[in-house]
Amino acid sequence: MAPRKTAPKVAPLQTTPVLQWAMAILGGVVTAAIMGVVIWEALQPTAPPALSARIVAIEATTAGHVAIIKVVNEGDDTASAVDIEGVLGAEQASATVDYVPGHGHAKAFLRFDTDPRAASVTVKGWSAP
Amino acid sequence: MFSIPLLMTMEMWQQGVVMERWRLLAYILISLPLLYGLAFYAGFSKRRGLVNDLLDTAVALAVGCITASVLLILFGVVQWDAPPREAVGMVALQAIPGAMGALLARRQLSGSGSGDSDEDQASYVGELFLMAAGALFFAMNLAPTEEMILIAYKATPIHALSLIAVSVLLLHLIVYNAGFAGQEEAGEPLKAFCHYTLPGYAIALGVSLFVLFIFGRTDAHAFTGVIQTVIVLGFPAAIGAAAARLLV
Repeated sequence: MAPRKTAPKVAPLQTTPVLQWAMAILGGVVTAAIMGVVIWEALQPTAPPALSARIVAIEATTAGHVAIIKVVNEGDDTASAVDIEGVLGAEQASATVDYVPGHGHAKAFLRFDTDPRAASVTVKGWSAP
Repeated sequence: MFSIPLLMTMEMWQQGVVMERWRLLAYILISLPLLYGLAFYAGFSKRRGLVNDLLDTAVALAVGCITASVLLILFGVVQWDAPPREAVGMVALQAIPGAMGALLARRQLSGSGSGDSDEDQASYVGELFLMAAGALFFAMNLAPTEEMILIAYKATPIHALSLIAVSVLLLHLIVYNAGFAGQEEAGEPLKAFCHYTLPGYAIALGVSLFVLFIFGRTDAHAFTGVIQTVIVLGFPAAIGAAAARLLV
């Protein structure tokens, strides 16, 4: 890289070429890094959504017991409109989660009349975004 | 004028209600110096100086707050019996882009002939700052919408790489042709690319990440998922960064 001509405007700008090249390198590194991540991702084998749901907490509210559900997606692809169903004896509760990103998680809430500690929670289905 | 798209975006109303307060606080705290910077480069008054720029920032914030309050009430989004927490959250969220719009609108609508502005002498750091402001303004208009994550989910790596290429290319074309680069870069596209386009794109990506974080769009996502969304939002942010010089 050739040394730049003297800064045309004012004297204090003398130091800017160093800053400009530093920013150029920073910008180049960030851009290359982000492209690297995408390329790396492209080379990985992709797996369809693999969803599982479990109860992580239970809260007793005035409107009954609320089970807080964590839906985990172990797959690479994102699932949308994920249907969650909880069954406790004769009682059923369901919720829909907008998106569960690949290798990410999402939260849902199911309401029961009684303590849902023993409820079974399943993912019934989803669609592609 | 600049904040109407945001004021009429449903996600912005929801965010105002559900956003964690520390995120809202971080957003406001980071926006304040940015508004000050915009006031410095594109303030209302001809007079310059710390006090005047601070005054301009405050006036712009007041305009933003009043516009946001009046329009949100007019649209029936903020109702009289709404809890104060909701109303304050929604107005605070909208006031910042409103204030940015106020500072830019003055610049846009005041007509030509005011060639003595500071932006003509903007230093390199100043140019980068303007890029960040432009990127933030554009990114903020789009980040709250669900479409950003939806596009990211649908994008394959090929799409993402193409989007990066198009973002950088458009950024460079606008920067280079709109004379963003200083005179000394005029005949050297490569130098302009290194000094303005690459840092500009990095700034656009950084701003995108920040805005996505503020709106909770990075929560519960894997690293690659966040990168995808940053790239998607980086596209409008890059255009915003490039257009900043035209706007201000």
